Amino acid sequence: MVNKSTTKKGRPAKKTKSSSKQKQGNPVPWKSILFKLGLTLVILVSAYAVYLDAVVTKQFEGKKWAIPAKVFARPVELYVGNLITPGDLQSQLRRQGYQAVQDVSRPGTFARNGSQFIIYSRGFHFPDGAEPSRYVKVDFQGSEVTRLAGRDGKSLPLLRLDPQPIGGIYPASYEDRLLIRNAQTPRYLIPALLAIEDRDYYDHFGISPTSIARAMVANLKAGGVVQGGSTITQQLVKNFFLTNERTLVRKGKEAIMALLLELHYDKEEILETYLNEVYLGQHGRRAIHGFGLASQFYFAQPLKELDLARTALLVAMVKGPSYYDPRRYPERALERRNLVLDVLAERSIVPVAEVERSKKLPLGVVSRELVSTNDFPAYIDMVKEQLRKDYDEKDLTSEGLRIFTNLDPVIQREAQKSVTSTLKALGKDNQLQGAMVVSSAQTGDLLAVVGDRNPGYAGFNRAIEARRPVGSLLKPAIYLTALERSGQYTLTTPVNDTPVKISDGRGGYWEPQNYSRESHGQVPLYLALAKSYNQAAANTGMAVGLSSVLDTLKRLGIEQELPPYPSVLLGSPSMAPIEVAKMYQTIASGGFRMPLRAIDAVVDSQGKPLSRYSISVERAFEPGPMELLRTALGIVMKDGTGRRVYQYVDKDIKLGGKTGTTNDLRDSWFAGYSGDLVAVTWIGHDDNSPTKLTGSSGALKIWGNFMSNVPVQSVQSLGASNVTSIWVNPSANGRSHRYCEGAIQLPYIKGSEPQAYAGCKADVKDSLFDKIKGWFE
Amino acid sequence: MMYYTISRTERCEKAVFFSPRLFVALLFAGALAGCSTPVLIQEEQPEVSSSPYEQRQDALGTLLNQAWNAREAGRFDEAESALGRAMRISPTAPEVYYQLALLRQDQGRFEQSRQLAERALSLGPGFMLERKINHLLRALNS
Repeated sequence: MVNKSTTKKGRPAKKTKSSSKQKQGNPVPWKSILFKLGLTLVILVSAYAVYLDAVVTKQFEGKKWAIPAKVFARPVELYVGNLITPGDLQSQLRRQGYQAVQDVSRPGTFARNGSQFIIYSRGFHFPDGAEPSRYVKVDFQGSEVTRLAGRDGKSLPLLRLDPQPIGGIYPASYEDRLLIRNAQTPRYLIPALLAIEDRDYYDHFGISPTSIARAMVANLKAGGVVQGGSTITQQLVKNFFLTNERTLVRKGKEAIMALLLELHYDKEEILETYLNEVYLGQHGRRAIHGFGLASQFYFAQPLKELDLARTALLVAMVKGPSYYDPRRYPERALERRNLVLDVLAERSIVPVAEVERSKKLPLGVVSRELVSTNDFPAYIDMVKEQLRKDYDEKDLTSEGLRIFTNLDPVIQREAQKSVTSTLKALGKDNQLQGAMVVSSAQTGDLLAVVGDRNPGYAGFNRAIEARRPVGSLLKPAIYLTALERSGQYTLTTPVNDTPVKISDGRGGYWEPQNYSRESHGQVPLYLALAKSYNQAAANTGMAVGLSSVLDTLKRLGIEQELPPYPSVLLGSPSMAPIEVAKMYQTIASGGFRMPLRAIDAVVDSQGKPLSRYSISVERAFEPGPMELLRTALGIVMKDGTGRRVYQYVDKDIKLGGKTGTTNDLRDSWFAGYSGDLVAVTWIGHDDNSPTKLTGSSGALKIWGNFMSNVPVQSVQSLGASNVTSIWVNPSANGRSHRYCEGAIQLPYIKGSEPQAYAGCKADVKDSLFDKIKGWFE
Repeated sequence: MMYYTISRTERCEKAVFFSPRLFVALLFAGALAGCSTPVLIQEEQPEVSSSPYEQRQDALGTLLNQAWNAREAGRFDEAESALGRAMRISPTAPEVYYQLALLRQDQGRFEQSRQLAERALSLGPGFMLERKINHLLRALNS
């Protein structure tokens, strides 16, 4: 426990008493000795009480606990046009502890009738203010929200749900709690707690002689300890100030401190502290304290929403949270819960009928996986990394900060599912590992991070820590460098896919081969990228200059200092998926470099905003060359090494991306984007042994799987004013007519487009005809 | 309303202060046209006095309206939040980036304002919005 300080042992007053001896025969001043002894005892006890009083008040005032920072996912927002499947919405509601009911009448409940939902959202205090609880009808058509209306039938622009808690930043003690006020407790919690634990609470002064007597009788009858006589105040003192030892001295101390506590503080404050202090379970290393957190931990619901049966279960568990653990020992827990319910009926706290109804209900405990607050450890790692730049570890683990992140719970789950299921499908090799990073293509919001094939695994986070050679993923930087020189390079400029031998800068030679071991001679630039020809990339890279390519990589967002070796061109540097994501983010956003942001805002325990991590952008590339590169990366997907993606995604959706494969098939990479998402996937072995997978036969499958399960938008043209689109015969680097065989339409920076025709019919008349035809089309 | 008056007055003063030439031109034009300076300034400033999103009922429009009003009233934090939400809902809507660029301008973060305006331009704004963005860029560059 964090705020607990050790107390000094009581000085044994008895010593004085026992050391006094009486001598017979002499007149003994009995009264005087006894008086002195009594006085000494009183003084000593008083002094000790003064000391204890200081301990009690010091710890009880001010901050009672270290409250770990709470981390939240981005809230689900519903609005007309929003793309989310009804199934995803329903499971998200369940995950957030929304109860499916017939009659939606209180916050935290919902009803679904086919494609129509009625949701009674919970109010929540966001960094930008309070969002009230709302009753909203939501209509779907397929995966699209088509209508949102309030109780009165009037349409609403949008509904923001409370955010899903996804973890915390814990101190070394791993003690966690969610502070609540007495007013935030459900109707029967306090009456039930007092009925079971301390029925004279409002009448005693810290210790209850009647309770002790009652307990003694019960214990004598039973021939052992079956009942405790401790009051709530004593229990609090024991938990809050003392250790668990069962000695008389500690009991005495406990009694004095309980009296002192009652002397200084009112019943409500003591009770509130108890409600927050009481230990109610264990989640791995994390200790669950207080009813607020216990409610989330067992039911995924805010405490206030608990029904009678659930309330009774929590009260039942106070006696022994591990013995009555409803997940491990449901029968025991059920029996004791019903006992609590019976007591409530006996003492007329709750009507008998309601008790009987509640007794028939199941425990209502959600699975541990559902509320696993560290469900997304890889993402939380990113959050911590970003937070540590601005906050002290101590503040993070004790000040009760609330961290609002950009994690999209639906995207995150789909990403993890894709990694897990693809690796499973790829074979029986359980050693095969994977990682994935997903961000918002236009804003850099980090939406999902997967660091292991097993969901919830909180160990080595490959998305951030596994640095592996990236292979062909860097090739776009070579061609972008070239395309920025529009006088020299266009998408159809022939580049040399011919054997190359270059000094490797370290005394040897570098002679890269193509994957197929064949050279293809002169190929159009876009095709060299689409087919990922190594020799073409090496030759082009050397032609534009290694230092220029390194500069392009830097501008694309690669922060690490890369060595000026030619092998860099073919991706010899090792990078983590998150670094690769930064580079492809710049391409996906059309040439704007922006940080990947895991955190949106941080507020203090009172809800006051402390920091906001807003988008910041920087144009790193002109739209013209970027449009050309994006066209080539689109061809990678349509006709190149990434074409398998369209086995997963609708052919009409424009995507861009690049495969990456490293020597001996050790690493399989895929990096790509849609109009709204950037995703980087990696597959490999932790011991770096070969995987027998190329980028296309491995990581691409995770990517495609993922994209097929989330709403995807097409990549849009950048609309660069200096770009013109013409029909060409790419292999001849000449203009063509659209009806000529092999003709394709490609963008060119104005003035760099080929002038001569190399199509099937190269006369001007046809060209004019084409033009006119083009106007009508 | 009061907030708006203050902010508009400030804006007029800013324009006058930073651009003596414009001031002379406006006076001259004002005399010719027989109308007062603020009207002309309104013509120069494509931003209209009340939120252009006031009538919008959709999610994006509602948030843009909220952001506009908050920014006009100097509640920058609120404007920032509303734009953050708008950006999550419509990450390719150029209006969101334009509004954020205006907010950065009001916050005195001119370089970021310029970058965001460029970003808005890159997302294919319509004719009217493009004009507004270009106006902002000119103001930032001057």
